[in-house]
Amino acid sequence: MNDKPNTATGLERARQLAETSGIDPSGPLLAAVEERLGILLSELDLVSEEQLQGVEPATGFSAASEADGA
Amino acid sequence: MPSPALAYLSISEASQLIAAGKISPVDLAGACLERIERLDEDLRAFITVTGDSALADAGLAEEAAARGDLKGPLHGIPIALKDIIDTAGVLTTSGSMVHADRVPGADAAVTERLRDAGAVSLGKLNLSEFAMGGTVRHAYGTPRNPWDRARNPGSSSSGSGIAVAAGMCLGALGSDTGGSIRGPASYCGIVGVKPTYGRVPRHGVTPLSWSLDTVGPMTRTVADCAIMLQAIAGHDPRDPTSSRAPVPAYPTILEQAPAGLDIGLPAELCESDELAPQVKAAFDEAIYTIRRLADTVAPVSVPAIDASPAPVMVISDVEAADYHAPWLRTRASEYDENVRLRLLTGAATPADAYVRAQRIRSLVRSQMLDALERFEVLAAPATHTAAPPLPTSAGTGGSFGDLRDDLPRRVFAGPGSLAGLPTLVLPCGFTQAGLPIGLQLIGRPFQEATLFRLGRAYEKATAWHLQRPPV
Repeated sequence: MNDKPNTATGLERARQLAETSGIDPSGPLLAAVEERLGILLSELDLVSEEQLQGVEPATGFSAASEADGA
Repeated sequence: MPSPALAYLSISEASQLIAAGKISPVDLAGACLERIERLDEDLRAFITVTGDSALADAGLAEEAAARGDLKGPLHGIPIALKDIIDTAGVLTTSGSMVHADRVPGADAAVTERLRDAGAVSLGKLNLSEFAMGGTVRHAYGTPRNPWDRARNPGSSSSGSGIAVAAGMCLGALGSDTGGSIRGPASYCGIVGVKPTYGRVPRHGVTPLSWSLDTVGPMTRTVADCAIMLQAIAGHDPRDPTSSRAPVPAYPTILEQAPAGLDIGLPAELCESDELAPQVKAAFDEAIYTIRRLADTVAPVSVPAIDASPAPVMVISDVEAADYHAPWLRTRASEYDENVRLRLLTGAATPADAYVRAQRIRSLVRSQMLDALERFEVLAAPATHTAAPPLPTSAGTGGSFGDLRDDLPRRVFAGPGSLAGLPTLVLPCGFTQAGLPIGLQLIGRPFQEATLFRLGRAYEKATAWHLQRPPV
């Protein structure tokens, strides 16, 4: 997942946010963001497509609405 | 009654003594304020102490009690609130310089409910910045564990855990997204409940992650937790995620014996390689006790538990990044470095990764609910170790420098968060160094009462909850 083009787009967005806030985008922070994002995305990838077959995304409303009978 | 004895009364005990006219709410608040004055320069549980208004409110509670006009078991009881919970006219910082001068015009729903129940607020409690665990530089002082001041009190409801454990208040509110009530309750040796998602309204509580956030009580006994949850639970139209499910009479139900309950032990938590030996031994001893209280205790496997830490982190980082976007654009340098790292990671996360995380969440929830079809309660250690040393490293790496090592340890909080399930944490032992160890009981949606029943019976059979830190 972390090789996809939208990862680069996301990192560019983080770089712009840092820059507009006066943080040096070439400093260690953005490298740490990239490293952290890479770890998290690779962890998500450990769950296979097979395991997720037929599984739809949850929402925060799930627990509350189930108990309400919704 | 001497001041420390007053401050260490349980809510149940103090309530009965107030009703009988044997103690004064003013003396009770005064005893807590005295301990805050003496201890908090070092422990840093509080960001704001509202001593004058607390004594004034306690005075009114005392006058009402003298007239026999009692509002319930929280009448005249001194409590404190995590500083992401709005309090009208009182500074509410969220533990951040970004909100250093934020004074809400109105109370949060839970603040209103506690006030209506007669509780007396002593002030606002320290926390990880914006309730994001991993804060290294606390803007309002480093919170310290009262059992060992060189240790972490747990995050993010750090001040709530410290204040209750150290007898600075009789109960507190915390919030829990990825373990923020459960961790501090475990590390500080107190009782805490993360309610079912939607059980307690979050109106007026600064969000970390809309789809995961919960608000709950932290106390020194299970019965006190039940009393506080009773006061704050129930639908509020200002929070569309708050449930209309009826709120049971927790303080009454908790005295029902747990005989007949079936207890499951998730192998992914109870047999985890991450468990410290002393934690494992204390947990095994707790299960030995629980076997005598419940009907069946048996192992169960919930394989998706192992996948739970990363989705919690991704979902909370992404949702937090959106809430914080206005300040990230202009004031990013004012955040703690680790919090800024989490927020920028959230801003950089691709949409498909967020959806993947929510799908894994569904998988975890489905498997947890399957296990809870067979068992009424799942029991496990609350955390993999007792309180670790305070983090000393700052900078972009900080406590996340070893994220790959850190994620597997977050597995103990992950399933309860992702599945939105109620979880009760209570003390179940101590390490040889004198640090508390916590037990967690996970229940079916909206079945907090079942957890209170088992927790109360466990408490009656043990004395861990009667231990006090050396302060």
